[in-house]
Amino acid sequence: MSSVSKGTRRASAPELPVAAPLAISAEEFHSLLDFFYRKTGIVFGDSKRYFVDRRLLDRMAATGATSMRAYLTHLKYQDQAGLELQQLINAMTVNETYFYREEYQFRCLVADILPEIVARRSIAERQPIRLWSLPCSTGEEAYSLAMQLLENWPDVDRYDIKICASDIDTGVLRRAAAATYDDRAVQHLSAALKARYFVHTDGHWQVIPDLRCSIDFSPINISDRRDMSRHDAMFDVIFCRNLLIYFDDISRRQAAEALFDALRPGGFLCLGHSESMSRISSLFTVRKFTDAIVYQKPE
Amino acid sequence: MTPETRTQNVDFRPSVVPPQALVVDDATTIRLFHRGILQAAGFTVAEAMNGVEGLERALGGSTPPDLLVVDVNMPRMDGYAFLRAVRADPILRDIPAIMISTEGADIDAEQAFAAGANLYVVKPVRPAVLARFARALVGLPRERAQ
Amino acid sequence: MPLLRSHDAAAPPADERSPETLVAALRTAPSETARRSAALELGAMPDPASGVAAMALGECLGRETSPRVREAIVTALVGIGTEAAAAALAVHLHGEDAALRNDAIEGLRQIGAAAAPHVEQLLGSPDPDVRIFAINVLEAIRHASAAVWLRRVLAHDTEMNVGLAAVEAMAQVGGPEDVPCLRAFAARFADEPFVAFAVNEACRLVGAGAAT
Repeated sequence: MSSVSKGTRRASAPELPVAAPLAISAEEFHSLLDFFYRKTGIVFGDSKRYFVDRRLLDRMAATGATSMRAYLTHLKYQDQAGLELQQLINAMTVNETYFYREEYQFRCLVADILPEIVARRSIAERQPIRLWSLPCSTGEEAYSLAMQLLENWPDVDRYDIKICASDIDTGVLRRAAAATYDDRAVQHLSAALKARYFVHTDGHWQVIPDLRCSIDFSPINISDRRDMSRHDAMFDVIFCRNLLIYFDDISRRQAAEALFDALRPGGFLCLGHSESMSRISSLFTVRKFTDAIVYQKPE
Repeated sequence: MTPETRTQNVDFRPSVVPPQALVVDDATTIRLFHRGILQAAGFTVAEAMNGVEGLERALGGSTPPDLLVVDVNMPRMDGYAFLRAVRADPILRDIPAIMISTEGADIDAEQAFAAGANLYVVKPVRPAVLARFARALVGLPRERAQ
Repeated sequence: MPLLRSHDAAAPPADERSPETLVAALRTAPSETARRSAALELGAMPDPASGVAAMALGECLGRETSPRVREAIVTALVGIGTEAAAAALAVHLHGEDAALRNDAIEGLRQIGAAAAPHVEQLLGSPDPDVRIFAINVLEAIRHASAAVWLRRVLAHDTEMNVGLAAVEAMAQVGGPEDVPCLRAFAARFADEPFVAFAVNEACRLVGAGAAT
């Protein structure tokens, strides 16, 4: 992504229109924020002004817009397929994945979600408790779920638990199964966790075999009805974080239906922290727990 | 331009936390208008564009709002469904709510009250009316006439 | 270790039901799950079955009592996305059920351009509420004539709340050239504080600043 540095000039190159600092007026900023909020439900406060400005300037440079007005015009009136909106969303949302990302949802899982799930299970229930990490990308989320259950769920030995992890990208699935990570990915893990669940060689951290083998990795296309319908009513909890934000309205709606169908009645869905069903679907009940707001399929 | 109100003689002490209103309406101009009225009447204001977002904002803050100002016609989850969900929720159930509707729409007072509204007002609201109702519902003193 | 290795459940057979079977299921299946599934399958029908599907979905939408099945029906119609699908939704803007109307408006907004002919027709309705709903849809459709139609409403509609809906919509789709029309509307309702506020805000958003 090209970026524009305010205040630096290239002495010998010809002056490009976007090399000079671009002023974004308060009105234009307000108009863009309102448009972005309407589309995504995401609000940027005043403290994020610098963050937003930088990304807007990046997108203006990338699209060749010579002014904020021109960029807004393109975004609001000309971007028929929503491609630029998607790029803007990508730029404005932080995407890196690492272990225990958005940790508050892991706390919520063991403190509130799982206790509710087991309280509801009948004595005769033979199915395991199933969790789904979707998309799982390179596996950090799925392994984090496993570690969280083993470390922090008192009832982990009382129930059969299956963690499934799926992605449309078979390349990342292979990397997830190989479970080898760099320092940055494990930076939020305590030394104790690293010692217990990783082997550290050659500057890499590999998840121990027992944990690697406990995750079921499989390819999935959430937009493929046939594909998703294989999982009807299978899951007690689905983590679908930072995926739907990249879909258009129609695909998001369809994905919400598919996620709903994949959940068992009473099952829970966790989205990314800046995502909301409020722009997508009213199928789910909003549930407030101490650590998080999550969505539930009615029983 | 801010809507005119007669609230300049407001009687509350600065050390008291101002009450928070949650404005739930899909129209940007209406949210802004109500925000101005409610801020001038002594409230801090949060916003939501539909009932689902309204629930998320009401539940997601460190404390729930003190007042709900709710439009009827919204996508995703309309005002009635939102209020019914609020009244069913242990944290939110006692929050006073003003429902706002266009006159002659199929809302009538009974439907609003059945869903859980405390008051309903016809839009576009008169600023002094909304301010007065809002303050009364959260127990703030009446404004003194200027 | 209690975490299990996976064994994939055997895949259930793909849904090969005919459109007729699906329509029957949508109409009469006792379970919500079955009706949802039928609706979503109908939404994935390739042409020409999608035309039949759109009609059946629209018809069932008015009679369906479950909000979740209604959601699936609207999702299906949005997925089909044709003018016929838009027609199936548009008819419900005249109804008494507020939740159904709002679902239909949302669906029409997401269908987009194919809804435009219906929007134009609904803008001429004698019912001011229907005109408001049509404007609510128009706001989200990036249609070449959107601003033209909104200007017409601002200039001629006798109902203030209809005009106010048009002001809000214009704030989303309009440009600096629409400011005179917005100001003229404000002049028609000069003693309403909200009208002045809304017009000023709309003028600000379409880029002309707050100068009067």
